[in-house]
Amino acid sequence: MIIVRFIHILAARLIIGVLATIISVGATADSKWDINELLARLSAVQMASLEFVEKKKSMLLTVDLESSGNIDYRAPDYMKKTILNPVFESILIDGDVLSIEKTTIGGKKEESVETQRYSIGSDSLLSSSVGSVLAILAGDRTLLERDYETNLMGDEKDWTLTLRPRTGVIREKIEQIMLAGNSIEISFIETTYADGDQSSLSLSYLEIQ
Amino acid sequence: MEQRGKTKAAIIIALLIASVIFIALKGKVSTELSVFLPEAQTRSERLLHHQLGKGASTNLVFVALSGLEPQSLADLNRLMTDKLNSSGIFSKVTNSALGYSIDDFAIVEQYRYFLTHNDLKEQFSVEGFKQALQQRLLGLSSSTAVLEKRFLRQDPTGEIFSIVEGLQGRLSKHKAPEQQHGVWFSQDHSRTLMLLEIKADIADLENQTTAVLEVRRVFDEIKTPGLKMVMTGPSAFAVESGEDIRRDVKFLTYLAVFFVVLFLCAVYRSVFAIALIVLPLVVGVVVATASVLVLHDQIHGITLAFGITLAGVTVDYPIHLLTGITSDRKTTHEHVLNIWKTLKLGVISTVIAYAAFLVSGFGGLQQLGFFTITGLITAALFSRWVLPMIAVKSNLSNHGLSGFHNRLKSWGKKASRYRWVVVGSMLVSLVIMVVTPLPILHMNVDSLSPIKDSRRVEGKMLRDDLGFWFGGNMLIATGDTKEAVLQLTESLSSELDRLIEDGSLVGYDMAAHFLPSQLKQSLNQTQLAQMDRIEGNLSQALEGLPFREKVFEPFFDSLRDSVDLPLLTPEMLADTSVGKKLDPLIFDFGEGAGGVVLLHGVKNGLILEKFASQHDDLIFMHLKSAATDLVSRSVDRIAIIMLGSVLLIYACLAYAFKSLVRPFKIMIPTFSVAIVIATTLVLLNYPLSIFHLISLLLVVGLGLDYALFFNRLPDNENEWETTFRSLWVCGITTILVFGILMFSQTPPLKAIGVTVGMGALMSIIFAAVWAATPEKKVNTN
Repeated sequence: MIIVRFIHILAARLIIGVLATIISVGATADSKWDINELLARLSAVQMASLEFVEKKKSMLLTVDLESSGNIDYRAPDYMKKTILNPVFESILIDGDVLSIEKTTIGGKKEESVETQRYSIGSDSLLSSSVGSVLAILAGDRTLLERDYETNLMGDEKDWTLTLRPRTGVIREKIEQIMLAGNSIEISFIETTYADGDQSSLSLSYLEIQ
Repeated sequence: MEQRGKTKAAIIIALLIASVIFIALKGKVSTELSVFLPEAQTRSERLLHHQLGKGASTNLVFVALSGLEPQSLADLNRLMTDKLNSSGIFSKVTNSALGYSIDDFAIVEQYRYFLTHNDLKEQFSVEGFKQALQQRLLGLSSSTAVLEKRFLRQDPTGEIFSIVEGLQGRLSKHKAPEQQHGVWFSQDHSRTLMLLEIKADIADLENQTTAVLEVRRVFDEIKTPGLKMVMTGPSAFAVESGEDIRRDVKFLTYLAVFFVVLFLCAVYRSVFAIALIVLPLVVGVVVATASVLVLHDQIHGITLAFGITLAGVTVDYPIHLLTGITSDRKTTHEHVLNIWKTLKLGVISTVIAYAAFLVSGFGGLQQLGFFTITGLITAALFSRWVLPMIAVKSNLSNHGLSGFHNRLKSWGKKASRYRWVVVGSMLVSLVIMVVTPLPILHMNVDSLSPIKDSRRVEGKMLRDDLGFWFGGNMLIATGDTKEAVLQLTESLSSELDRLIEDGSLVGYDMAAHFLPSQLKQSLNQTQLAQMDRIEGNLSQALEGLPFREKVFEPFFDSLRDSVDLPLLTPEMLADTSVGKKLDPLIFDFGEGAGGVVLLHGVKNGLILEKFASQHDDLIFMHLKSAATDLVSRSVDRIAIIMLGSVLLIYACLAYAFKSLVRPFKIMIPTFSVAIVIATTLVLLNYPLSIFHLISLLLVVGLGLDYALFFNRLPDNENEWETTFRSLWVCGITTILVFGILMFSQTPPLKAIGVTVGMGALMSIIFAAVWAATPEKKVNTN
C-alpha cells in the first residue's frame, strides 16, 4: 500500500539509483572538472547494471536495517530497482509511469506480490523528483537546480555532490542527499531525512555501456 | 343575473391576480424524473423506488476521453482531472488507482479500532503483535519507509493501512480498471476514464447542472482536434434530458403558437380575436400553476410542458362562445347560455377523462392531472363569465377561409353516407387487436424514461470499463435500524464468498465493507480496555526485536483515547470520504432501514433468488425487471381506471340527457376513434405505453366534446352553419397544438403527440360523420 504523498522519498532514492547506474568510461583527464562536466559524462551512459547494499539508520530502532538487490538502467528513462533481501520489492520507472511491486504479508501469513502503477505527471512532488532524475540524465543543470541546491566538492577521481532540496514539499522530508564517486562511477549515496533517519547505499557495477 | 355574473367574474379575476403574485413569490420548477414512476405499493416496490431515485452511485459522473492515441489521451486526462479537482465542485476526481491519499481518510486514524475488520483480540495477542512488528520492520526497510514511520508508533498492528487499503483506489472490491500511462483506460485502450464525485446535494438539480456544465467547460478548454468526450452517470443523464425536454418544448411551443396564430388569423382576421381565444388558456395555466405550487413546493417541468399542451383543449371554449357573440347584449346573453349548456357537459366529461391521471398511481401524472383539471375548469369559468363581457364590446367576424368552410360544409352534409365507416372501422380494429401477433402493450420501464437508448449503452460501457457495478442485480436487506441491516449483511459475507467460489457470482460490495456493525465494533472496544494484557503481550512480542524503548507509548495513548469514543454510526460518518462510500449502500426508506449488496457478474439469478429466500428480511432484485413489473402492474391499473372513467362519463351524460340511449349514441364515434388509434399504433409497431394510454384518454375527452356539439347541431340553416364553423375551427386548432408534439425527440412527448394529434383529427371527422344530419332534412328547412 503506497500513498502518493510519500512517493517523493522513493523518487529521491531513485535518483540515487540512477546516478549509481552511471559509470565512467574513458573520462578525459584534461577537461575542466565541474558539475556541468559531471552531468555531461553521466548523461552519456546508455545502459548499466549494478548491485547495491542499503543500510538504514532509524531513530526508532536499536540496529540498522539492511537490504540488498540490483538496479538496471537504460537511457533515457527506464530504470528498475529490485530489492531481493529481506523480501522482494521492485520499483520501475518507465517513461511517465512508476510501478511498484511489493510483498505484503497478509493476515493469514500468506505472502503475495501486489503491483501498483502511478502516473508521475499527476503528482507535483513526484514529477519534480523524477524531473531531477531526468535533469541529471540529460545533463540539464537548470532543471536540477530548480529543485535542489547543488554543491560539488573534490576532484574528478574523488568527488562529492551534495543536493539540498529547495521546494518545501521535498524539504519537509529530506534534509540532503550526498553522492560520492570516482569520475562517473558513483560509489556511495547517503540520504539524510528531516527526522534524523539516514539511508546509505553502497554500489558495485556488473555491466555498463 | 347580470349582478351575479359580475361577482363571479370579479372572483375569477381576483383568483388570477392572487395566482400571479403567488407564482412570482414561490415559483420553482423541478425536473426530477422519478416522480414519473408509478407509486410504490409494497415494501419491495418502495425499496425499488429508493434505488431508482437515489440509489447507488447517483452522485457519480463518469467521463471518458477518446479519439486520439493513448499517450495524448492520458496527458489530457491528467490535465482535465487537475482542472476539475481545483474547481471545488467535486469532492473527488479520480483517474487512477492513486486517486486517494491517506489524508482523504482523516477519520480513519481516530476511529481505526472501530473501523477495522480485524479481530483486535487476535491482533493484540503476543503472536499478533509479533507478526505485525515483523511487517513494520519490513516496511521500514522498504522504499515506503516514510509512510511506515508516520503511523508506526501509534499503530503497531497497522490497522490504518489495512482500512485505507480497503477504501482507496478501487471502485469495487472485485475488479480494478485497466491502467496505461498512469491513468485508467478501457480494456481496448481506446478510452481513458475519469470518475467524478459531486460534492453538493444532488437531490437539487441545480447542483447536478453546475457539475455537468463544469465538465463541459473544462472539456472545451482542453479540447484538441479529434478529441471526443462521453459523459454518463445519473446526473449527466438528468441534466441532459432536462435540456432535451426544454429545447423540445421551447421549439415545439414556438411552432405550435406560430401555426395556431396563423390559422386563427386566417379565420378571424383580427388580432384581438386571437387574444380573446388564447386568454382563457393563459388564465387557466396561471391559476393551475399557482394551485400546484400551493400543494407541492415546486412544479415539475414536465407538468408545466404537458399541462399547458393538454390545457390547449380550452382554446375550443372561447371559439364556441365567440362565434355567436354580437354587439347586441341580449342575443349574446342567449347565445352564451345556449352554448354553455353543451360546453358544460363537454367540460365535465373532459374533466372526468383527465381525472384518470389523479388515480394513475404516478406521482408526476397526478400533479399533471391536477394541473390540467384546474386549468380546464378555470378556463371554462373564465370563458363563461369574463370573456363575454370583454367580447361584447367588439365586433367579431369569423368569416375567413370561407372557401374552405364551404367545401367542408358540402362534405359535412354528405357525411351521413359514411356513418357505416365509424362502426365498421371500430369492428375491424377490434378484430385486428384480437388476432395481431404484434405486442399490444409496452411494459418496458425504458418507455417512461426520456434517456435515449444510445446514451444508456454508453452509460453501461463506462461502468463496465471502471469495474463499477452495473447490470442491476442486487440484494436488499431490511431491518428496523441501519445497525440491524449492517449486522445482517455482515453475516452474509461468508455465504456470499462461497457463492463466488461456486462461480455463481463474481463479486459484491456492501456497506459493511466500509463500516462494521456496532456489534462488531463493541467486541473490539472491550478489547481496548484490557490495557494490562495488551502491554504484557506487546512487551513479550518485542523481545528480540530491535525497537527502542518507549517507541510505542503513543499507541497506549490512542488506546486510552479510543476506549471512550462512541461507537460509529453511519450518521457520524456523513460528509467524510468513508460516509460518501457508505451513503448509497445503506439508507432509511420510511419504514426502517435498508441496505444494498451490489452483485457483480451474476450468472444465474435463480440461485440468488433462492439464496435470498433462505434469509429473513432479504430480497433479491433485478432493478430493470422489477421496475418493469411495477410498470406493468400500473398499466393494469390504468386500464381499470379508464374503464371506470368511461362508465362515469356515461352516467354523467345519461343524467344530463335523462336518457340511457342517447349518451351511448354520443359515445360511439369517440370510442371508435380510441380503438382505431390504438390499433393503428400497434400496427405501426408502437406498442402502447402508459403515455399512449393516457393520451387515448385525452382523445376520449376531446372526442366527447366534439360529439356533444355535433349532436346539438340545430336544424336552422344559419345556426347550423355557425356551429359547424366553430367546430372545424376548434378541431384544426387542437390538431395543430397536439400534432406538433409528434415531432418531439422526447419519447413521452412524442407518444402524446402522435396519439392526440391523430386522435383529434379522427375525432372531429368521426363525430361529424356520425352526427351529420341527413341532407334531405336540412333541405326541408
